[in-house]
Amino acid sequence: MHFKMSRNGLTHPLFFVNRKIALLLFRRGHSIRKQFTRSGVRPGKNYRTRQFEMHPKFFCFSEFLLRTLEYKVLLMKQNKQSPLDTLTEIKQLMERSSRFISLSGLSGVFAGLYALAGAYAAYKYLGLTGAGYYSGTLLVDKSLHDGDTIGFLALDAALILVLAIGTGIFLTTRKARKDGNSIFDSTAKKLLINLFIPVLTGGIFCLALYYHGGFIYIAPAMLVFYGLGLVHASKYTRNDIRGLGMVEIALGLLACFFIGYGLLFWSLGFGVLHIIYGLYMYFKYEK
Amino acid sequence: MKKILVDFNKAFESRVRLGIMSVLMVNDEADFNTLKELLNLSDGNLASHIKALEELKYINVSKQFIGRKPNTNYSASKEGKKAFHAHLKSLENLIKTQGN
Repeated sequence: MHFKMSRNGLTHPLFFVNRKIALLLFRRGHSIRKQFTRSGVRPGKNYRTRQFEMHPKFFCFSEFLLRTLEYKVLLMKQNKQSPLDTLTEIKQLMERSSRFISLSGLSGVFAGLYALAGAYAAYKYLGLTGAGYYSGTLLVDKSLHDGDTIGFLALDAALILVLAIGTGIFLTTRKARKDGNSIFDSTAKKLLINLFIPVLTGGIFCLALYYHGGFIYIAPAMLVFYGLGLVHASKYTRNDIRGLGMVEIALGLLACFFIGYGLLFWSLGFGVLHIIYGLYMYFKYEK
Repeated sequence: MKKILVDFNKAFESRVRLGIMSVLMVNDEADFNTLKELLNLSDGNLASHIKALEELKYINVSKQFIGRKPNTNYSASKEGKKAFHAHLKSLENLIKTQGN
């Protein structure tokens, strides 16, 4: 056994790479082996012979030391970076430090699904009250002045918002944890602040529209301001968001002219577009 | 080959320093903890590299208190930005010559 070990140590490829280190390791294994036999095995009749017996544990240990050294040599070779690697690393670091990339594509898909469900509920409800916010018949929106209808729509919208944001936070947190990124860092803060400046402005603007009875402009205004928010925030997350924002703005402006189809445009913009873009982002970055 | 290497900045030879500079290039400023998390470094390691860059006047340091906690913000100085751009250019040149 002892002979086998020495053969292993001395003929090991590393031995020729660095004779000194190989010898050192070999000796170290040897002395540890001695220690073990002295402390672990009671000295008896065959104390001397036992001293040179190779315990399988130590055979593994000395092998392990040699192997780690081997890996170290290998790693040293790998650590010499090419300039191209350095440049890619710089680029990655710049992106990671300035953009919030943990945004999950699936959260977009879920937000779209909630929006579609909410829009369907609104469609059913408005169908009951006879207000045609979807068919172009409603040019004078009298029935929307009804307090119940407004209450229902507000509740519907709030529910969609809470569900969408909740699922978004959950999925994004999960993804960030999986990627080992921090969840709420300075990039996330920047993203949220820049998204919500136009979005909150739009929200207050919509309240003003409601106050003055301009219901038909609420859906277009929501789309336009949301699109502006996305374009504004795209600097702080994946650049693809910019495209989504542009399409939302275009859809909103279109809705401004086709008055009376607000609900249709709304479900297109907040529902269908979110699902398409969410899937696109999901397959592009997470698959 | 040697001609290209003249432009190489010794200060950016270390990956950590290069990393610090690249973060500060795209962000107006970054505080110590953000840098630490981004680069995955220990306090002492990061501090020593920052000190080296500070001595070269490549980064500006501003200290303040948030409540009772000290908060140190770093930003890239004009010289630092210039040096970083020069370094990047030399890296690109090296790649070009390698490709040919």
